[in-house]
Amino acid sequence: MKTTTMRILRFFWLVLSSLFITSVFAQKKEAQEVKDEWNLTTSKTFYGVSVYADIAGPITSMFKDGKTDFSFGVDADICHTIYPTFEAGYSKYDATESYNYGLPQIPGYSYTCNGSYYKIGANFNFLNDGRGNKVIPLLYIGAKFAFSPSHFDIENVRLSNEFWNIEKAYSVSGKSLCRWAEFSVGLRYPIAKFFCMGVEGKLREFGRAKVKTVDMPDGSSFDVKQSYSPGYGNFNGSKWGVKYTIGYFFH
Amino acid sequence: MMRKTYNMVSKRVVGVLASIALLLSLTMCETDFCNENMYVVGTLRTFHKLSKSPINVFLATMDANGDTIKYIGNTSGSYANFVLNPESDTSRFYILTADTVEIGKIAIVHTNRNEFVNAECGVRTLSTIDTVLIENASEGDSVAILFKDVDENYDNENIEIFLAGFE
Repeated sequence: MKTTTMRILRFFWLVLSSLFITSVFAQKKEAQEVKDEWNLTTSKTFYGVSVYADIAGPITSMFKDGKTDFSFGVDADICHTIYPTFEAGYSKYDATESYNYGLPQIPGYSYTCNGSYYKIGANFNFLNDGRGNKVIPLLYIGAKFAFSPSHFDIENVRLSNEFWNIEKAYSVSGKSLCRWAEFSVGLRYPIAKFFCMGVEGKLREFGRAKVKTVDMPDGSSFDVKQSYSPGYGNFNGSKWGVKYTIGYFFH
Repeated sequence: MMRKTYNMVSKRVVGVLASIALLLSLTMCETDFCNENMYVVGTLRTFHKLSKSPINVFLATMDANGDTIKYIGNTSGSYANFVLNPESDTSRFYILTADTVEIGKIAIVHTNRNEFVNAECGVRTLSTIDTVLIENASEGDSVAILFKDVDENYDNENIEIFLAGFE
């Protein structure tokens, strides 16, 4: 089942990427043949604002059980070079099936987390050719600080100790604050006037979650280290990701 | 001329990066395993009181009635491993020689802290040792707590016990 899903996902990426690459080269050819009057402007400091949405997250959510993710972003075009950016999104993750430690889990075990996430940073564009256009293609690198106030629910997680003949189940829920850094390389290209399509490779690093200490009814304390965060995924290492965006440039 | 070169370069860069993005998205397939040490053990060494030479021992967990629950295997010859009770603040052990002869009993008083490690691993119990008591005092001489934390780092030597009567 998982393999089939992955194949379907890969097929979608293939189609999307092909469309993107085709549109990029088609537009490039057109741009050389016809002088675009609609796109001409004088050189200035502030050119406009782009609003875009990630289309990869919702498509992945359709095919991946227990995962929901969507996000949108806004960035400002300063001198066609610096793009201060803000992104926000919502993600829900069911990591119940991730459990793979040697012991079988207790029936009814589940681990889910959900919440919004926010990213603030800036992109630097390398394709400012100084031709005085309103909207230009972007080839950029960027860095963002991200955080997520999220909610976790852990049901019937097992504590087992063979030396003391103990089998116990814990259920705990609460809120947690996760944070990380994100570095990106991306392309964005006008595909039809001010409509733009983009692809971005992103590396999420330094993922941390604040340890939440919960007092249990039996008087003991229970520390929860969130291992997933909305917008990041699993904290067990740095994460690569690809984002496909579609958006509009308001000039 | 400059403009033409610029267009060619940017076209190639665009193509290369789009291809990289495509390849990345095709290879992104996550498999997560439990990479944390879930076996939380402390270590204890026993010595002869006078000669200070080590005694090779191992421990067995003891229930409230004084019955043995389970022997705890050692990871290193003169270091005996112990596992603390995650449901109680006191853990009692038999100290046994290699041929399972009982040479002492100890009680370790500790504070527990349960920890949900991550989705892959589940829960483990970490502890802090407060007190160590030798229950059969006639055979015990002294106890030293070298490291209070019993955690996932099993290289910590936690307790040293000096026993009399085995010279």
